[in-house]
Amino acid sequence: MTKEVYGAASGGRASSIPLMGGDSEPTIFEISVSGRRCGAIRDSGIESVDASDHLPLAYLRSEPVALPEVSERDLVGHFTRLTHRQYSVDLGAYPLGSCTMKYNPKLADTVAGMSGISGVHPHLPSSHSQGWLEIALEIESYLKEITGMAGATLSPAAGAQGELTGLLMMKAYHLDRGNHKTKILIPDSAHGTNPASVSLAGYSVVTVPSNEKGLVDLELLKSLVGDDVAGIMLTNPNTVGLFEEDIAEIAKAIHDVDGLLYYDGANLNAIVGIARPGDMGFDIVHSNLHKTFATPHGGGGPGSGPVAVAEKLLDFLPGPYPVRGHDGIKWTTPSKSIGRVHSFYGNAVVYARALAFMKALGGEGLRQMSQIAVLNANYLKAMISSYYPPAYEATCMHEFVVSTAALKKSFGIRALDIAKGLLDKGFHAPTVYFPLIVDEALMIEPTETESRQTLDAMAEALIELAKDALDEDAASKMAGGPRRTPVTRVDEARAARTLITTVDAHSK
Amino acid sequence: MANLGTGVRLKHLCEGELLWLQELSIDSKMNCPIFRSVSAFLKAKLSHMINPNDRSYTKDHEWALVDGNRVKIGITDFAQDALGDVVFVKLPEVGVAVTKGDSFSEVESTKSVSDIYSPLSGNIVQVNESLVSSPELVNSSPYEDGWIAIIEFGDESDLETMSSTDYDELTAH
Repeated sequence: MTKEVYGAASGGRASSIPLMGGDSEPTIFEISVSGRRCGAIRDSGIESVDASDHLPLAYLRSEPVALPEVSERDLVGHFTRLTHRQYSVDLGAYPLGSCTMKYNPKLADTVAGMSGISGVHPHLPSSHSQGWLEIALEIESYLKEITGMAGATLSPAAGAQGELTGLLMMKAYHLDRGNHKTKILIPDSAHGTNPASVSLAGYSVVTVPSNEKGLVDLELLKSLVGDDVAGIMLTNPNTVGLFEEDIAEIAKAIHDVDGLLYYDGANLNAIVGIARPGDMGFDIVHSNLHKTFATPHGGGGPGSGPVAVAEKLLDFLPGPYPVRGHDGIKWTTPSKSIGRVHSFYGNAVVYARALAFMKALGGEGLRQMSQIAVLNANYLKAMISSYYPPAYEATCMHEFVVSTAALKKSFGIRALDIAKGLLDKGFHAPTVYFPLIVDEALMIEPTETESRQTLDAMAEALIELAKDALDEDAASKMAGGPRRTPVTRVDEARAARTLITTVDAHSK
Repeated sequence: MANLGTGVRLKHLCEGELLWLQELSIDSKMNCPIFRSVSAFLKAKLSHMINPNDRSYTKDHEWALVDGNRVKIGITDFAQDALGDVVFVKLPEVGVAVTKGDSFSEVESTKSVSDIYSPLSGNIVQVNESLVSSPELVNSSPYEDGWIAIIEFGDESDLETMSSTDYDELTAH
């Protein structure tokens, strides 16, 4: 069937051709051959039955679902070729600002793969999983220490779910105290997930403008704070890589109306062992373990977004969670809990990786991690600032934002062109067009894992691109780039305007 | 500059590329004479090209074209250029009331989603249905075919906008 649909050669080719030049790798459906299988199930000896004898017809398919039919050899070849066409954190530097795409040491994978960790069934009673519960309590204690909080939950499956969990606790807190709150303040430089989480939690968003230094405008913020404000969501350092100097005053203004401060842990990599959100006045903190503590990065996950809270929110934590008692560690749910947010206790093997990373580095090592992240960002910023004007003058933290507005105005070379040009020079692109408050933004976060030699090479590549903008031939090449990657410039606008999301739509 | 169709490109600079680029980084101190003259040329070219004077403009980069007790709203050339390729326009429903300063529509590009704010209070009486299948009209024809909605208002003095000259000034640098 698929053969007719695509008119492509089925069966695939066990060759490396798709790694060369502009040749493309067919989809798994295109290499499908009717009747071909990865393996055979031997006769189990169990009598087969007709599903229609046991299930209502309405729930049965009229024809088999069109799954790809491939041999194991073709399957492994297909995905290996796709893998070789990718860029990854294991392959090279990945300066994607705000996303903190740092290299993850293999030690964490090794630990998480140990049978005692990966081979434990989540349905085991607490009496038979004390070791695992110790792991959970230990990482909770580290997270509490790092963030300066009183309690934590490991349940949320990712940072965005952590945000929602935190906001639901904020809501439960206000309802419990009889507070009538409707609004949550968010800076105009915030991550897009912040307003989305606020809407999901049933609050309305009030945007706080940034000042010319790239920081929250304190006076404007004070004018927006009233009795209807439930809290504020901030990340510190903020999304332009600067430390919010007025955080103590911001905290006071919010706490004065019994509001709560939510810390978006996306930028925690800059301050571990140096400053604690709890000491700055925050009440709720989520951690993106993949950004700071060496767990897998996005895409397919699984992720983990633990949330730590101040004393006054302990009763609202999701449950059940492990608590140490006289006869070992047991599951419990606090009195005013917001309930379950994930099956079992989150994605356990993921946070076991984070614990391995924390223990391998130790307290001093984690502090150095943040120090080097900040040093690397400032080094790269200094190396390229003559060619790429920083959006803000202040010393940056773990990331910085430059603007290519002048290149666009004079030569029509956009931030996107520079980003694509960097792909041709062998590096992953930085984040582009974020935060929205900076015109033609490139947001660069080298992370602590890149060496000085790599930073120098990256700076050289970026400077060459700025110089290319002056040369007509080089600039026109850049505008159509990348040219050396397996997939060249994609038409993002057409892809978004003409959505093709299913095989059926493709065949039409 | 290629996108302006001028055919002019800075190949030879006062003290060479490096110096020019150093000047580029100090936005407020454009001391390089060639850059200054080209910059002035570009500004003149841009202000000549865009922002028709038959309508008024908001600081949020919408334009408003008044006709009787109705006002047609769209986004400016500056706004469409900053947004990049528009991929979706969330149109308001005909008949709904809009409040001055509140968002009544969204324009989504490959970069971001931006709210469209109403410069006065009234009711939506017409929306540009052609944007449903052709959102790119916002890019190709921001002042004509890419209009977004028509609002019927009670009080024109409610309209808070600026002249095309003032808007040219706002977007000149």
